Formats: sequence, structure tokens, C-alpha cells
Amino acid sequence: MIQDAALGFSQASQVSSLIATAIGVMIGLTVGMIPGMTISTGIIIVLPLTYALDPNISIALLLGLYVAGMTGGSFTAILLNIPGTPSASATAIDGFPLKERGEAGRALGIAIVASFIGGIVSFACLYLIAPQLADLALNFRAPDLFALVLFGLTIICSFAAKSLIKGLLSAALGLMIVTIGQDPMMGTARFTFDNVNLLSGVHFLTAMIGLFAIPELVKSICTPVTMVPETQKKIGSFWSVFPRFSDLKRIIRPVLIGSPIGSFLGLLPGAGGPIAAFISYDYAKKSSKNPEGFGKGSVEGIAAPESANNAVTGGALVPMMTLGIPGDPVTAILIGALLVHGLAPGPLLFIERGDFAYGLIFSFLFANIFNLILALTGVRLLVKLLNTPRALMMPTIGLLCVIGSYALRNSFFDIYIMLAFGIIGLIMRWVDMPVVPLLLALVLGKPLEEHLRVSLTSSQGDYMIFLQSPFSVGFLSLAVLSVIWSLVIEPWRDKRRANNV
Amino acid sequence: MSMPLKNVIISMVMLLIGSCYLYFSLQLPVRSIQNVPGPSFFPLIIAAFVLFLSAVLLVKGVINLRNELPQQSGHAAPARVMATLVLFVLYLVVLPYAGFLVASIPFFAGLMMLCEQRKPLLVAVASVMIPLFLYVLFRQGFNILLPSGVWM
Repeated sequence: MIQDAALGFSQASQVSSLIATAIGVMIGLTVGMIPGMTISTGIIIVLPLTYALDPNISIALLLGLYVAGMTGGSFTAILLNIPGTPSASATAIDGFPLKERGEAGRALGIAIVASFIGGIVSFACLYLIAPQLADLALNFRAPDLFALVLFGLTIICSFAAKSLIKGLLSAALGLMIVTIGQDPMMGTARFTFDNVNLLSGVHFLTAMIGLFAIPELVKSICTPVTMVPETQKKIGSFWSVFPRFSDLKRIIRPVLIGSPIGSFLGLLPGAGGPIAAFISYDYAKKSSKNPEGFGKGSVEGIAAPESANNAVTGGALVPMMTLGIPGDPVTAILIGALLVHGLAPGPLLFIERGDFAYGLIFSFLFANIFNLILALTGVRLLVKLLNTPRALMMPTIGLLCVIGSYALRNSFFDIYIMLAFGIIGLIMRWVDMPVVPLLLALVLGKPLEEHLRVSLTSSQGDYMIFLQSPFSVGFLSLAVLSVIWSLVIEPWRDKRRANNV
Repeated sequence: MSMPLKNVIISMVMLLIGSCYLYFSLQLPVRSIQNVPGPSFFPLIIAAFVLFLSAVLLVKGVINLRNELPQQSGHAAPARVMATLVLFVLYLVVLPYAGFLVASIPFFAGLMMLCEQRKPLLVAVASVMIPLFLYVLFRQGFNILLPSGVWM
């Protein structure tokens, strides 16, 4: 283990990996900052590059983007009261009033430093928990793995807030798509209609590019352009972004609240950055000596959600790396990006490619360090990118979508599939059907079928096999609890909150 | 179009897709070995799931159809959405013949114009330079294969 950790550290600290991390951070800060652009889109933009790069360098680039995307979202939340990413929504509550008082630099500085601390806490969580969980997961057998994947799929309920039926239908559509191609156990061609291109199935990344990037591209092209006046983006002097010692002292408590909450919620599939940010904000307010200052530009109100949403990133990497279960769309895409290089996330990653697994963990650490340095020093420059003409950005993204889907398997067919998924994504948005369940089903569908069939084959069709191991019973219970939480407790809490308001 | 009406439409589409999926699933070999789930096992579960959910959505949609007033759609202008998609389709038709570099120039220019870029010089320069830059970056810089055409 120590040898793997040392190897991983040396891989992550190679100059090429560090440069990739820095580039990823710059792109992430930019993408996170632009309202309407998600971190997922940012990853799609750089995806074609990762095919040609060494896996260590690719993952360093993607992690830089993931970490910085979270921080970038807070820039526009503070400056324009428009969160760049959903996770930055809570930051706007105090960030924007502080900016309105003429202290934009101070607000940005607090957000950047809090993000850094949140990231470091979640790095510690990732470093300490991931290898232990991977060790435990090595004991899982097919029924346990089926129950685990099923539990992972229940997070679909959290993404189907508006309509559970549509969320489940979206997931079912994803499962239908997963069954196209050769059957994983017997090799029978299913739903291929004698088309050889379909034998290997629909590539997950091709589908993802279409589902996420094309609707976003079309939406951006069709939305009228609104330029942000320069006065609104005024930050102050270079040094105004660097937090004062008194502010650093004030943010200790909220950061100590936000970071563990974010790391913990990151571990739970489906919880995500926005929830962590709002819960931390709420707790920080309750525990503050000056709760009445919240909502009026309190630095504690900025620090708590910012540390929490960045802490989510490290937490979310734990189930992704050790169990192959994505907690959000970004980690789902990261799984796809690793699979391109023949690296399957799961417990075996730590056994077979321990150096790579630890390299990923240390790249995450470096991504947080670069995020702190580049965001503090470059925020004044980055904000100028807000006025990059959309007429240049959107067509470039369009071309990158084509390159990304073609270069996966050098197949024109994949480009057509990408566009088909783009149209499916547009229709889904039109009918308010969430896309994320489909994406998660695309990632988890194959292992779900595989483990289900392996279990039933070994038990000669006896379904009681799922109740024989404590792991599978535990995961199935968690799955049931997760569904009950999403269907009963959360709506009840929302209703109560609405009544109180 | 109101949401209940959209729900009715999408549920009917999903019912159709689910039925086709069920039909093709039934054509697959059911069980090759006794008591062992075959290739059609998982698709049949999904088909049942899709048909059940679509039916529930259809019933809910029909019930709500009478109660709700038509809403103004907040989505993007359909004409521009269609224009973007048509542009994409044309691009994908031309791509296997003209190759990435040549086909991307008019595609890029078309998308720029759809983004309301009215400066012809900027459109001309950007639609040549950016595809060229991407071509050089990926093909020469990273040695990634890009779509090549029959003509060139």
C-alpha cells in the first residue's frame, strides 16, 4: 500500500501531470463561471484530448476541471447573483450582498480559501476511506454487487424530484439502451437488427456527449445574448482577493462545519453539492454568534457552503473509485473516461493498478492546490472571459462534440448516435424528463444485469440468494430506505418547510 | 403546450417503444439452460417496467389534462432549434465525403450566424481558423484520427 501510494504520488507530481492539472483547473474555473455551462459540458470539451493522453495525465486534467468547476461557479454567484453551477446557489445568499457593499474581492477570496480547505478535508477522507472500502468490497460476491448496484440506482429518485414516474422512465430508457449489443453472458446479439456497428453496443460517452452537450448548445444558440456590464464585474485591486487574517479566523468554524458535511454527503450517491451547500449554510447560521448577519454579506455565510460543495468532490470519488458507483453526472463521466483507457473503477483498481488509484488521489490534492493558487491570482483575468462571444464558443463546442464521439472508436456511426442522443436529450427537456437517471442507468445497467444473472445462475434461479449474505441484505435495505427517503420523507419535509414559509 | 398534454404524448411514445421492445425481447432465446436466465431475461423485466410506468403516466396525464390550463412554453424558439438540428444533419451528411476540415467550415459559419453574429469578416475568419486550429491540434498535436472524407 505504501509503495503504491509513493508510486501514485510520483506519477501525480510529474511535470506533465501537474501541467494537465493546471490546465484542467483553468478550464474548470472558466466553465464553472459561465452560467448555463455545467462541469459535465466542460469535461465533454476536453474529453477528446484525454483519449490520446496517458491515463494519469487524463485523470489529472479531468480532476482539475471537476474541482475548479465547483469554485468557478461561485464567482458569478458573488459578482452577478447568478450561480455558475447549482452548487454555488447558497454562496450567492451572502456573496452578492458583500459584493454590493463594494467588497467583491473579499467575498471571492473567502470563497476560494474555503473551497480549498473543503477540498483538502475531502482529500483526507478520500485517502483514508477509499483503500479501506476497496479492501472490504473485495469480499463482495455477485448477489452483494447486484444489491450494491441496485442501491446505486435508487439515487435516481433524488434526481427525479419533479416527477418520479418520468425519472424512472428515463432510467428505464437507459436500461433499454444498455441491452443493445452482445449479451454480457452468452454473447447473443440483442436489438442489433443485423447492424455490425451495434454489436458492441452504444458507447456510454457517445450517448453522454449527445445528451448533455447538444441540448445545452441548442439552448445557448436560441437564448438572446445579454452582455454583462463591466461595472458589475469590478473586483478591486489584485491584493483585495487575498483574505485578511481576521477573516481567516472568522471562517474557521463554518469551514469546520461545511467540510465534513460536504465530504460525508459526497460519499452518499445522489446527495451532491447543492444539498451539502445548503445544509452547511443552515448549520453554520445556527451555530454562529452572529446569525442575524447571515443573508446580509456574512463571510461565514460564504465560507460554509463553499467549503461544503468542494468537499463533496472528494467524497463522491470514494464510491466511484472503490465500488464503480457514480454519485453524480460528473463521476459517471469520469467512469466513462477511465473505461476508455481500460481502467475499470472498482475494488480491483486498488489491487491491479494501485499506483494509478493513488495517483488519482494525489492528483485530486494537486488540483485543490492549483485551484487555490490560480483562482486567487487569476480571478481578475478569468472574469473577463465572461464576455467571450457565444458565437465563437458554441460552434467550437459543436465541433468538439463531433471530434469526441468520432475519436472514441473512429466511427462515423458514433457521430450519428451522438446526434440521435442529442435529439433524445432535447425531447426529454421539452417534456421535463430528467436526463441524469438515463445517464446513471447507462453506467450501472450492464453491471446490474451481469450480477443479477450471475447470481441467479449460481443459485439455479433461486431468488433467496439475495437474502443470504449480510452485505446484500444491507444494501437492499439501504436501497429501500433510499427510496422511502426520496418518496416520503423529503416531500414531507419540503411541504413542512413550505408551510412554515 | 401544457405539461399534462406533453405527458400524454410522451407516455404514448414510450408505450409504443416499450411494446416494440417487448416484441423484440420475445424473439430472443428465453433460456438456453434450465433454471438459468437467458438473454431475454433482463430485457423482459425492463419492458414490463416501461409499459407499467408509461401506462401510469398516461392515466395521470389524461386525468390532469382536464384540470390544468395551457401554459406558455419557456423553451427555446422552435425555429432556431430546428435550424440548428438541420445544420447538424447536413454537416453529418457532408462529413463522410468532405472530411472534417472542409465540412466544418460552413457548419461553423452556420452556427455563428445562428448565434446572431452579423460581422461577415469575423464569421469568415473564425469559421476557417477555428476548425483549422482544432484539426492541427488533434490530428497533428495529439495524433487523434478525425473524420476523413472520400473527396479529400
